[in-house]
Amino acid sequence: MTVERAIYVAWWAMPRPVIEANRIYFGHETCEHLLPSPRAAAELVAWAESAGMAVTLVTPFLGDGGVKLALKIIERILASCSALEVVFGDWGLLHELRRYPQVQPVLGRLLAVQPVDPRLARIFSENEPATRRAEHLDGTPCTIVREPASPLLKAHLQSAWLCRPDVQRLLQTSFRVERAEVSFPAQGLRLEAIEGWAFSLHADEALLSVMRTCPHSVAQFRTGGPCTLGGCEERETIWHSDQFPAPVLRRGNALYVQTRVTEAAVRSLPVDRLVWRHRQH
Amino acid sequence: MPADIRILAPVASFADAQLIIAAGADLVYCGYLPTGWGAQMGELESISRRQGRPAHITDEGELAAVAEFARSRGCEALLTLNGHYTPLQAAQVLHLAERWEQLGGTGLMVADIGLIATLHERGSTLTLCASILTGVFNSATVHFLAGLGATRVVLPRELSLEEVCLLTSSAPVVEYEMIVLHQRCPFIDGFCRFYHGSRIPDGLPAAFPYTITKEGNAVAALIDPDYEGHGCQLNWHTDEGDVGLQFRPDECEPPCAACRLSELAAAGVSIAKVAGRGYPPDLIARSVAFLAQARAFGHGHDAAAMIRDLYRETFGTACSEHDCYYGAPGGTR
Repeated sequence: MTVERAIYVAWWAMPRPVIEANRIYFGHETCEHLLPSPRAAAELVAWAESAGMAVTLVTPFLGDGGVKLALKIIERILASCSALEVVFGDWGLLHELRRYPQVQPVLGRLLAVQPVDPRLARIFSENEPATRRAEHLDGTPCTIVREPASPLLKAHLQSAWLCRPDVQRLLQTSFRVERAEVSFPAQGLRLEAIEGWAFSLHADEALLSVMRTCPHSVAQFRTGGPCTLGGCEERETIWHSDQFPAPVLRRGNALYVQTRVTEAAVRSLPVDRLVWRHRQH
Repeated sequence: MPADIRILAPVASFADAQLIIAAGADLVYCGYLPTGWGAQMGELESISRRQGRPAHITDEGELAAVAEFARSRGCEALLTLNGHYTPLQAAQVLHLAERWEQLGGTGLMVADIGLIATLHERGSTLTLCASILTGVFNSATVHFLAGLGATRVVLPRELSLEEVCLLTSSAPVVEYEMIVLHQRCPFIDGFCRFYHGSRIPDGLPAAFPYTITKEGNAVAALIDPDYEGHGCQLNWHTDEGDVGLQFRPDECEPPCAACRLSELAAAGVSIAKVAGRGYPPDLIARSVAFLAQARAFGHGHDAAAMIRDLYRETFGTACSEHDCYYGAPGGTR
């Protein structure tokens, strides 16, 4: 299978990067405040097309205002393009996209609901954890041991709800969705696809969690309402914990973990597109 | 005057249902972990987004008793099937949902849109409640879910009351529910992929299942005995310092929206949910009684003062603005 190569660019970065890819992704996966204006979106599309690349607009979860903005962006792009692929992270936007037959909706990672916590990989490990003792609330001293995971549990943790034929058919027939975006978790991945369905695999990062707002500082991190910053430029910080096996990248309001995809793994999956994030140097 | 908001609370046994409905709950919700499922899939968050046997009913007879008791008291009983089910699980989950209906359950908490659509197509009479895990931040999503068959939607913790008003008035096609007590997390439930396992801490007594061997030793066998905790419970730091996730124990200082029940009702929310499936039943019962009394106090400055006094009496600590679920009364959130 020919695998398309897509690069996710920061739409606000100037000058435009020199990229060799079949497709450009732009927009924002997790924050509506970081979506481009309709004009900026149209300019980026024009640049990508002049460079011979196809375009995908990425959108996050959205408030009512965000849905209106996303549709304005789409309408602006469609004013000069006959078709557009849109990654949706919001069921409401998918609902609205039924009115736009020129749009090809793609289910985004926010809705893919994959188990990507890297700690799940140790469930697959053959290594036995050290036995330890613990006291039950009823006073009984207990030995804590590992119960091997069943083959069914392992298969479940490598799978995704998107692999269900009924889900793929529902999305295909009622909403014209024929593609979903996924990550490659540490425990491995198994995907299944019905006729006409395809997966795009994000090759370098898995989306681990999302907040409504970014922490204003490392010390301020509470459940928040709507963002009052009005859009930053995606500050990146690395989070570490002795209790977690990998560093976590906080980018704006989202957390990511690094992933590694091998060629052999991709060949075994119904994946016809790989997505990488463009790194500014 | 908006209708009084109803109180929904979790139960994990028939005894819980008796206690919590007597405390004033108008609806109850529960999880079910059948023995076969537990043996194959373990107790990770796979049948519902809650780990561990203590948070689930494990016997079908008891599940039926909860449904029957709730019905006899004029209460709704909902089963939480809010996972996203892989091909290996889907048939069994559908069977569980339909069995719950046969047993007399009245509703389901669901996040899997395939499950919502299938149940609706099969003519289920269960109230299909789109779980907080569905991530409903706008009115178009409500219309999407209603189109699939949902008749109730749980709105996320991260909405402001202003956003709630706009959303409910733009989509008056379902009933609305919001969490008002316990378990406020910095991560958005529907988009959080930190895995939720069962933690057995070092040096502190804890609740976990164990068996006694032939030799008389107590052994607890877990899929992941090294589980460190949910992502929001871990100690994170950056080069600039510690990341303070403001995690407070629900037993003595729960996040709360009791002062805003009237405003939530006026905003179109008809169900106030107590989170904490698997929490000690006494804590849940106290929480329900607290909310029922707070509801009776009504609204206004005097009511807020009485509710704060009641909070201290119920949980043993004074509340603070940090604990306010949707902002303090009169605040901007």
